[in-house]
Amino acid sequence: MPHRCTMQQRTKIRARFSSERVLLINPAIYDIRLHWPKWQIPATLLQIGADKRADGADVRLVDLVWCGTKRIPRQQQPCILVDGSAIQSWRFGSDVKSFVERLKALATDFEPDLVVVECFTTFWWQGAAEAIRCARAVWPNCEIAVVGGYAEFAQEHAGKHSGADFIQPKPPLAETPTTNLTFYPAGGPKTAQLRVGGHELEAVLDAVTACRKSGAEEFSLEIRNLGKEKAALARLREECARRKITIPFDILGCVQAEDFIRNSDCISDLRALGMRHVVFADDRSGSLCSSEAFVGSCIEAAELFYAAGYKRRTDTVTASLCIGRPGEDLRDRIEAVTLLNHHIGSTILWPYQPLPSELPDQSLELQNGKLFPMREQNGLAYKDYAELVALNAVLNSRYRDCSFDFLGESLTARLLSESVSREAWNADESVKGSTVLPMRAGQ
Amino acid sequence: MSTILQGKDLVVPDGSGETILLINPPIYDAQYWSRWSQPAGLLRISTFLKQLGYKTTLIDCMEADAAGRVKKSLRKVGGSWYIQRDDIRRTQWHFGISWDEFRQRLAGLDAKPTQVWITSIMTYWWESTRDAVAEVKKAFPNATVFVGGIYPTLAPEHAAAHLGADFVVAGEIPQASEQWTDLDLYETPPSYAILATTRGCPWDCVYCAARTLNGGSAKVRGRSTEDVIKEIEDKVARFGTSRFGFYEDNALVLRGHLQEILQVLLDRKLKLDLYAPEGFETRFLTEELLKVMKKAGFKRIHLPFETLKMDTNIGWNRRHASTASFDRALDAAKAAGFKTHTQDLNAFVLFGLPDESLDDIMDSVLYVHNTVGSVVPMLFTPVPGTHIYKQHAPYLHEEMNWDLQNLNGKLLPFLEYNRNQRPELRASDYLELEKLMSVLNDGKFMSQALNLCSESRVTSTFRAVMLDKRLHVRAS
Repeated sequence: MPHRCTMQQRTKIRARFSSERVLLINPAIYDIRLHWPKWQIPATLLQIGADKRADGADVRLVDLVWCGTKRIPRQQQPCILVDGSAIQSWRFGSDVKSFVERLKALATDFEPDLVVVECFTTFWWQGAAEAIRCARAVWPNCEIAVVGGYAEFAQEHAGKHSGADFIQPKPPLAETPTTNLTFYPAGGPKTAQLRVGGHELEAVLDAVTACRKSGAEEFSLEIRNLGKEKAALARLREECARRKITIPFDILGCVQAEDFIRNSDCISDLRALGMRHVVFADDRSGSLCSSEAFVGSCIEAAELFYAAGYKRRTDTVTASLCIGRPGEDLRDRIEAVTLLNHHIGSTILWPYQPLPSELPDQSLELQNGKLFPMREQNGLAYKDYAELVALNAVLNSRYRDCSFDFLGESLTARLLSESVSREAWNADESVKGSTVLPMRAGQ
Repeated sequence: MSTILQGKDLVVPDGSGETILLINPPIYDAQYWSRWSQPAGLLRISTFLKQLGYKTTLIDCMEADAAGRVKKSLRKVGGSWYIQRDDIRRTQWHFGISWDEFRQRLAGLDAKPTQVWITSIMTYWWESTRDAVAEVKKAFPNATVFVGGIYPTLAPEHAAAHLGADFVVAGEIPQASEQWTDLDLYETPPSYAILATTRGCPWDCVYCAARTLNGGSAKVRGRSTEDVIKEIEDKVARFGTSRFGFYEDNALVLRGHLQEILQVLLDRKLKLDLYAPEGFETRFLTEELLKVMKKAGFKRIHLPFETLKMDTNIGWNRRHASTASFDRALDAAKAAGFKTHTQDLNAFVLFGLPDESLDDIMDSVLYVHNTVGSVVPMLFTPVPGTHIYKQHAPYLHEEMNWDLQNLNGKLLPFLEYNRNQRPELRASDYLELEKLMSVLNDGKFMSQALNLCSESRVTSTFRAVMLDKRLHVRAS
C-alpha cells in the first residue's frame, strides 16, 4: 500500500524540513535513452545536502546513477508500445538488489530522520517511487521528501504515487557557484555546474578549486542572462589569466544564439576562460513560424564563434532545435536541420517536453518527450520522429572530426545531389546486368 | 642484391633443434586496422619448420593488446610528420613496436637464431621490412635472412634490390600452405585465428593479385574438411579461440566445400563467431548456404559489390559479378535471416581507380546504401602483378617517378591521372567521398540504419529539401 499524505499534512511536514541526519538519494532512471549521462549529476539534491551540512546535519548520499568510471549499468524493462512499434525501455542505475544492500549497510550505523529523493523530471517518477519504497522498507519511521521537476510539475501525481511523505517543489536553497561534489567518495563525478553571475569573484574561484579537488574536470556554465553576467565573466577571465589558469567548461543550451549576437564581445572572453563547447538554446520558446529567423541567428552566432577561433563543422559549436512541439510542420523541421547542417554542421535535436497539464489523460511515462507525445496532434507517427532523429545523426556524423556538408559545394556533395535527383538506386537491368554469366568476347 | 628463391622450389633441410626467428615487422602507413591482421602465412611456416625439427620463436611487432590496439608513433618522412598530397595531409605513423623495442626484443632472445624469416605483406609497406632486415643484420650478422610473403611474391626484383636480405622467397611455399597457424608462438593467445579452406580463384579481375600470388594458375584447391575441422577444434581446445576469420581467394568456388565444413561444425555443436572480411562471390550465395552460415556463427556477411554497372564490371574482367547476382544474393541473405541496414550485411564499393567515373561511384554508394545499408569504402591500390598495375606501371614509375610506397591507395596514386577527365578533382574529394560513405552508415533509428533513399515521409522530404535548398544556396 503506497504511503499517501494529504496536502494539509504536506504543508505541516514542509515546515519541518530541517533534520539532523539526512540521506540523499538519486534514484534510478526509467527511460528509453539517457542523454549526456556524464552530466546527470543531481544538482538540487547535492545543494540540499550542502545546505543541511552547513546547518550541522550529518548528510549521506546514495547515487544509483553515478557508478564511478564504469558505464551506467542498465536493466531491460518491458517495451513501450508506441504506434505499433515496440520501444525498448531501460532502468538506468545500480540494480534494486544492490541498492537495498547499500541501504541496509548504511543502516548499521546511520538512521536518517529525513530522506530526500530527487526526481529530475516527471516521467522518471517510477525511479523515485522505487527508491522511496526501498528506503521506507529499511527505515519505516523516517520521513521522506521528493524534490525536483517531478515534485514541481506533477505534485498531485507525486502525492498519490510516489509514496513520499511530502513533496517539495522548490526547496529553499542557497545558491553556490559550483555543484558540491563532496558527498561522493574519491574519484567521484568528473563534471559539475558552474555559476558566475551573482557571485563574488573569489567565491567562484574558491568553489572551482574545491570542486576540482573533489574530482571535477569539466564544468557546465549556467548562464541566466548573458548581458548581465558578461561583466562578471570578463572579470573572471582576467583573474584566471593573471593566475594562469583556465576552467574547462561547456555552455549546454542555456543561452540563445541571439543573446550571443547581442553580446558578441563576450565570446573571446569565454574562449580565453576555457570554453570548449557551446550549444545554443533551442527554439521551444519561439514561435512556430519563426524557424527561418531562428536558423539565421544560429548561423550568425556560429560565425562569431568561428571568428573567435572555434573550428567549423566540429562539435565545438552546436545549434539545437526543438522537435515535437504541438502544431509544428515536419518539412519546416527538416529544412531547419538541413540548413543548420550546411552552415554549422553540428545540431542537437531536443524533444519537446509537454507539461502534464498539456496531456492530462496521458500517463506520465508516455508523456516522455523522447516518445514525442504530441505526435498525433501533428499528424505524425513515432516512426517519423525517430527517422528525423536518425537523419540528424547522419547530418551530424563526424569523419575525421568534421561532418559532411550535404548542401556544400564539394564535388562529392554535388555528385550526391545529381545521383539523388536521378534516383540512381532505382537502376534497371540494362545497368545491373543479369544473373546469367555473360559469354566472353568472341565466344 | 638478394637471391630470389621460388617458394615452390624451396628445400628446407631438417632442423635438429636449430632456432629460427620469425618476424612480423612494423609498418609505416597513415592508417592501420589491426582486426584480422594476424601474419597467418608466417604462423603456418612456423608449423612447417617445427615439423622439420626446428625451434621457432616469433617477434610479432604488430601484436594487438587486449583492446585490439596496436602501438603507434609518429614517423618523419623527408623531415615532415605528414605527407602533403595535393590539398590533404596524411600523417605518417610507425605502427607496431618501436625500433628501440624491436632491438631490445632481438637482444633478449634466449638463443641466437641461425636463420631469420621475415614476412612482408603489402607492397607499399616494403620500407619497414627493409629497416627490420637492417636491424636483424646488425643484431645477428651471421644469421641468414629470408623474406617472404605477398610483397616479395608480387615484386621479387624490387624486394631483392631493396631489402638487404640474403634470400627473397617469391610465391607459395606449398609445404607450408595447408599447415595450421601456430598460435603457440604467442605468450597471450590471440583472440581470433585466421583460416583458409581453399586457395586460388578462377577469375582474374584486373585489380586483383590472386592470380599472380597463385603462380599464374586459375586452379582452385581445397583443404580437406576433416583437416579444417581438426584445426578449429584444436584451437578451441588449446587456446579457447572462438572467433575465426576465413581469408580466401574465393571460398565458394568449390561448390559445397564451405557448406560441408560449416555443417560439420554444426553437427559437432561448436559455438563460434565466424567472419569472412574479404567477402564471398555473390553468385554462389544461396539461401541454403546462407542459412547454414548463419547457424554456424556468421553474424556478418561482407559482399563484394564494387560497382553498380555491368559495363564497368566487364571492363574489370568481372563478368561473373553483376548487380543482378548481388541482388539475388541479398534476397537469399534476407531469407536466411540476415537483416539489411543493421551491419549484418555489408558491401564494398571500390574507388580510386584510373579512368573511373565518379558519377558511377556515387550511384554505387547510393545503391548499396539503399539495398544493404552498410557501405564499406575500398580505396584502390595498384598492386604489382595485377593487370591495372602492369598497364599503368610506366605512368606510375616513369612519368610520376614513384616507388611502391607511393602507390598506397591512401595516397591516391591516380589522382593526377583522373584529372584528365575532371580537371577540378582534388585529393580532398576522395576524402569527402569516404566521409559520405562513413556518415551514411551512422543514422540509426529503431535498431536500423536510416535509408535516405526510402520513400518514408522524412527521407523523401529530406531529398526534396536537399535538392531545393541546393538550388537556393547556389542562387544566393
